[in-house]
Amino acid sequence: MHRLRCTACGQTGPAAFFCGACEAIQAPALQRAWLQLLDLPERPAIDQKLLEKRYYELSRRLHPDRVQATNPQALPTSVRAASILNEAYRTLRDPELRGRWWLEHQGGKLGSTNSSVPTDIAAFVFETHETLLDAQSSGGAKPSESIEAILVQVQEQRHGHLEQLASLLEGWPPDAAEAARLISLRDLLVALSYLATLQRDVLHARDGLEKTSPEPRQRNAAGLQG
Amino acid sequence: MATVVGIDLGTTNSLIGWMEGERPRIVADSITQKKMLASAVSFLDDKTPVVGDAARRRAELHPQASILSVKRLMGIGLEHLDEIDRRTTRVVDAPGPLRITLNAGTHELRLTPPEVSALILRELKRRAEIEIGGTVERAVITVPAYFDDSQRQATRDAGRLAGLEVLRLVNEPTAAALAYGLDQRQEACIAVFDLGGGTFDISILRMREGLSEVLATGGDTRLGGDDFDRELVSLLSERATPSPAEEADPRTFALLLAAAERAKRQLSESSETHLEIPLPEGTRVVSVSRAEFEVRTRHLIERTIDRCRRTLLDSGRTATEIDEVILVGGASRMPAVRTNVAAFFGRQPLCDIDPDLVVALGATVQAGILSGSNRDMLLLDVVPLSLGIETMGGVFSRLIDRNTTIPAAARQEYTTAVDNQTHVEIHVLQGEREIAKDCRSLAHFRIGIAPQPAGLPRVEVTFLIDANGILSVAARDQRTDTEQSIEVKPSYGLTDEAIETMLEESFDLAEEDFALRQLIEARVEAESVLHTLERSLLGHSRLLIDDENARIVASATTLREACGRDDHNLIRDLLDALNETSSPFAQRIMEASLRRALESRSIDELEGR
Repeated sequence: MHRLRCTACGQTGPAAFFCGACEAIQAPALQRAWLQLLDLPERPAIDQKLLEKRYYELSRRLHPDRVQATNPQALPTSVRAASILNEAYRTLRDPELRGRWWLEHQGGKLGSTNSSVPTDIAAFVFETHETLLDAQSSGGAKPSESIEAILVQVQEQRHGHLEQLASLLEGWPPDAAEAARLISLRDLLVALSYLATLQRDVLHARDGLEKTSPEPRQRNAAGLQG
Repeated sequence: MATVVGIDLGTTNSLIGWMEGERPRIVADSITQKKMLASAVSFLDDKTPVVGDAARRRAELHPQASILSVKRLMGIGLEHLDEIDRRTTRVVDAPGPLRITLNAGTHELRLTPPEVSALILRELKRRAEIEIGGTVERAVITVPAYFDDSQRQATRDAGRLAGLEVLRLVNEPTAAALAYGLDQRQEACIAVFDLGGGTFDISILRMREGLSEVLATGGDTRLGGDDFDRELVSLLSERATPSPAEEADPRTFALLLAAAERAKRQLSESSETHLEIPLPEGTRVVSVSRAEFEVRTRHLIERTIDRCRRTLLDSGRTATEIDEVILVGGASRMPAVRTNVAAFFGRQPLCDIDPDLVVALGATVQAGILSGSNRDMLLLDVVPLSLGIETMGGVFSRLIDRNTTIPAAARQEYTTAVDNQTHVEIHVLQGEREIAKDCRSLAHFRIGIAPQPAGLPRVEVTFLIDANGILSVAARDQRTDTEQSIEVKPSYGLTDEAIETMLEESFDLAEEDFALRQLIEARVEAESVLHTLERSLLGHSRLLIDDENARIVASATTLREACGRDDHNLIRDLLDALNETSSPFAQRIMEASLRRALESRSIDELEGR
């Protein structure tokens, strides 16, 4: 249980967006306490429906637009509180970001050390890039069809890894942070991050868009990619 | 709680609304009953500003004293002006906030874009105060979703200069969705395609139980109906003027631009238009077909569809998952826009609510939410552009990604590189490129630090984007747990001191003086009518019959004399009289022009052109 001192009444209680004693809005900058702040069970698998419900309920109570009308003095706190709530929701609703967050807070050193690319993924990424280049430069009648086929392959790979991630998180035992589990989590996240980059490259090739800067996923994964 | 108004501060037209009980209501001008106020400002010879239709009409005769589409210039620097901006607007060629040069009679005026926008806002405020019957001090103002931090700051500054506390800036497409969402109860995924006068936005939203959640937004703050007008200007000048539009003098350019706007509207209704252009060297008649227009503007429409594709990708949805497509903005009336949008999303777009009013209605709904009168609805919006800092080697390092729900925060830790370093410079930028110089510079922040050995201070800097999409920065020394001082140097915006000075020096609109306003408007109209008539008398003298010339000249002379006096009713009466006297003549000119246009076309056709 994470505990905090209320900035309004000074009482110490469980960390939450609203003080248990005086109900004043709090902006607890405690990434580790996100599940508690959203009143969700302390496990890395999440009931999406429940997460969404909690997010919307809390937004309705602490969003600055609502606070502006009801309690203008609390406006600055509510801006910070909403930014914390938004970040927690954005991270928790995405299995990969959530996995990374869990790894960082449960895995200690492991979460921040680099790891190498799994060989099977490296090979797949390399081959796909080759095929993609061929498809683009072949000038054949239907380059878009072969790109579409590559896309399907990449998506299937990613989908498979996402399922593995979901079952790993789902089967996570309470209060356990065994090294083996953390290592498989880390490896899965690295693979997923490579596949996400690859999928984007293929999509851009298909839609004829120039490459844009890397997406948040990859940037956050920098520490993992090594 | 006093009324909070909702304002659509548009490139071409602006509107203001208020909540009348449960429903939003758009204010109509007390005299003309028109809801739209032209976003045009013109200065009379004595520096009195005129706002609205009268100013737009005056711009044709006095381009040097007038400014249209000022929104295109909000929050940008000299280096962002394009070729056409430089031709249509004269700016002070000096660093610092952009200033526009205007000539009112013998006076030279130098105004920042927020000061010009403030004049438009004041006029809107004045209209609302009459309709509501009380003072208006707080407002929600809409901005294009793709506006960056500087452009938003500039809009907020304009509000402040107009004596309005801006409670919230709302993204235009989001506002449009709110207006539709008022009666929407079941869950739906909505795309809002907003093509305004100067800006383009596309937003994907999810709406459920009064909660509007923006999933992704994209667009182009330099693409709008104006660009279609400019394509038409070059088309018209190919047919009507000896030299290309780029070389035309400001007067001719202004006349071509006015004709282009007319042509664009007519081509939305019919497949061909015949235009009479009263050029200084004589009136020309030009015909343009919708097909020709569409060929010339195809690249503009393709740019909007390309943005739709990217934004849809960002939203994580596919076109088939979109339940409704809403069209917003006057320029979305163009048939080519409709067909292309329908083809891209695979469904006919909705336009149940007047696209000209929908943004203002939504802004008013948001005003209702903020004033507490609407407790069911809530808007969760996003930041349109990634925000980050310049790091070693001029690389842009992202801290907050685009399409992140706001409010949003990011933290970064800094230390010192040399002993007794007393400050850290932070350069904040916005954009999607990898290199800092390719992104838009927002501001330089200078964080003060107590002198210590190098590497010892640990300063945590928090970047916070509030619900308006506006950035604030706070710094705290982690070791001493003390707040650090921050000095902000906005890259394009105005400093607080500059705004204070402007407030003191601001122009006084003759706010409550109805008679004066009516007088100014009547004079402007008379001047414009007299000018056109003069040209017609010269250019089409052979179409005059009997004593018509003498009668028209007499009537015109009486009107010109009346303009020197202060009776607007008299001017209006004489204007009507002149119109009546000259209308058979005008009719003959129109017929002759049409005939000529048709003849020249049949010759073209005969010659197989």
